[in-house]
Amino acid sequence: MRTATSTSIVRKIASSVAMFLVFGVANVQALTISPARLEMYGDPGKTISGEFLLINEQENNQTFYTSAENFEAQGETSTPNFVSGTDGLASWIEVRKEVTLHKGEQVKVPFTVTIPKDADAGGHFAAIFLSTVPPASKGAGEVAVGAKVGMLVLLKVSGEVKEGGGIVDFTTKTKKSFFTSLPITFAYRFSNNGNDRVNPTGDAVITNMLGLEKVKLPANQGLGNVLPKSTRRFEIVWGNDAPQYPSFFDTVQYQASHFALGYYHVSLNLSYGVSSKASESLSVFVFPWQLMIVTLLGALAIYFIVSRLLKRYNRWIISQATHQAKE
Amino acid sequence: MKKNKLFTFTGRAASLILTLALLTSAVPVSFVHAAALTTLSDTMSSLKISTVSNHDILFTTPTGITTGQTITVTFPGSSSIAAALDFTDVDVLINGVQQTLAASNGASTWGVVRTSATVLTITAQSGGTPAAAGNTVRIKIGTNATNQSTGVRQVTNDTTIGQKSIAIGGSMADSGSLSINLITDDTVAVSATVAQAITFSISANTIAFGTLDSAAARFANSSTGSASDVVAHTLAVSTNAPSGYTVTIKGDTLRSAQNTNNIITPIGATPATSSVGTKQFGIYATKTGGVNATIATPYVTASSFGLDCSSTTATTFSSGTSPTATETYSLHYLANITATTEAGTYATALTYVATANF
Repeated sequence: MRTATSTSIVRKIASSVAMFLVFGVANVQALTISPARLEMYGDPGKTISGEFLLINEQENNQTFYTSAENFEAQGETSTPNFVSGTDGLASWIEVRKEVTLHKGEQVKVPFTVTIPKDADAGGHFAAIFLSTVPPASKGAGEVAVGAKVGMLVLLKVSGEVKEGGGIVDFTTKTKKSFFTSLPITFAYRFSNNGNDRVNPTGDAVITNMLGLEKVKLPANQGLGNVLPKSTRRFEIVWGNDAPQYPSFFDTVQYQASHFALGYYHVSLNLSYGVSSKASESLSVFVFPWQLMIVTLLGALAIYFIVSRLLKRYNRWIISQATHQAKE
Repeated sequence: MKKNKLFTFTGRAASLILTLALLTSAVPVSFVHAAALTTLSDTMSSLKISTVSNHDILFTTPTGITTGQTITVTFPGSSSIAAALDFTDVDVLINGVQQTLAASNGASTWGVVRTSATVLTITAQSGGTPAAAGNTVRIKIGTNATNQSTGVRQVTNDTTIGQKSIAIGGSMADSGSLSINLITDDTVAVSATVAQAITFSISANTIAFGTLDSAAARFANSSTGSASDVVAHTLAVSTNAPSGYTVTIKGDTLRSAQNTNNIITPIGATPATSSVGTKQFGIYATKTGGVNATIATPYVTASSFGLDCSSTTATTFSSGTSPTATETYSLHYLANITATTEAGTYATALTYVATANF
């Protein structure tokens, strides 16, 4: 039942691509793989098994070829950097070499991971790829273009797993502390000195000058991991839907609908690993001067109109009284 | 003498009886008949023991409620009315009409008081007709009370499971009770798993420039090349992975099959416009659909081309940080040569790889 539901959902996700197939340019490869990221656990010397779902989104039969590569963190992003090699998790994975799917067909492909007895405890990372083999270039000035889609495998090998790391820094993305409007993007860098991936979770709590909570934002909305011996940068956005090229009044409207004024304290509280915690804080000041100007002008206009009306009323009252006195 | 006294006493007694009989016939006397409340019900927001709950009590009073009479709602056993619960946490409706409430009753105001941890006392207004015979009375207690203000305080259910009784009484003529059945847990845990998936498609496996020309730029397409800037092929990606996806590009520049030392120079990481008469091989892309993916710097500027990868090094082509519907990339390829570029068959293979982010 659960599998059927998952398959249905995966098909819905892929439906937009299928629509592209029907109404747009015919693709020579269109493949869905699920899950896109698989977390596995195992003991040294053991063989564990898994499976993934493939859906051929093409209008014709297609053979897909499998391969595996290890990956590591690329800089401070969440982008995997695939590295060739004959060892590591990629070499522990056994999966059938090719899979032929009829148009629209979906199959579950099993695979195994044989963990060596001397495998290091902690995290090991690889991807299983599916691709059509690009045809060899033959003519002059030709470019063969191939496409591969991969499933990330995040394996944790049991044993003495070291846990270490924390928040390296916590700033605003622009390094500024004065803003005229939301959105404000906060950024923190989290380092992992351990030997397994960590998944920091927690919130950034924003409080106003009175100490009242303004908003609580998830610190790792993408559920991203920090790989061992690496640092990853996460961003937290306060406010959204800001106009891209705002006019003065677009800005005023946005400042009114996403109102923020004054000093705000931002407290970042994270949990990671088994029971580790980390926290940092910063402060920002928001002064929406465009909104303030419009508000001030509006108040002056009301004051001017009301005072004029009062003067006119007073004159009318006095004239009425004078008229009655003469009578 | 004794006979006279007896006569006098008998006469006085008869006079008294006669007087009382006359008074009784002259003064109208009404008799109150207490009755049982009908159509009693209580809709609770939670039947879980030791859990705060709203109450929506409904009943019909056969006799009615007169001025100043009280209605008491007595909760069972170890139930607990919030200590600070007051009239702002209660609504009283007579025949569907909201009544004005206060801490004590007035001419047209009903009073609401938490008498104890288990008793709530509601006093009818002191003027008019609070509730006529046959009227329905509805008492809302908790956050479901929204008339004068939205309630914030509720009643905590009894600490033990089983059938409990809520008594409705007070100085009003009618009374009754209703039963509720408290249980250990009134919630049903529902869970579902949404599998992560990524879909990747490409519209062509072979594109061509045709014959390169030192006097004019050539652009690749799925036929024999073009003299104008056209879309060579498309890539499309969609995923529900929370961390988004990345597409990388890996492959050599155009290289001569006859002499592998002869290449068409890749433009590199800094985008450049077409420069006829120089060696250039590069790509740019535009994107439609989806939510947030960013095309990498070498390929993001329209009409400016870049190529920053090799046959051994993959670099990022585009990436996004959240789930997205289909994002379609239209790729443009440029090749320029010099007048002295060695003749030969120049070709390459580029591979685009799409994965979720970790």
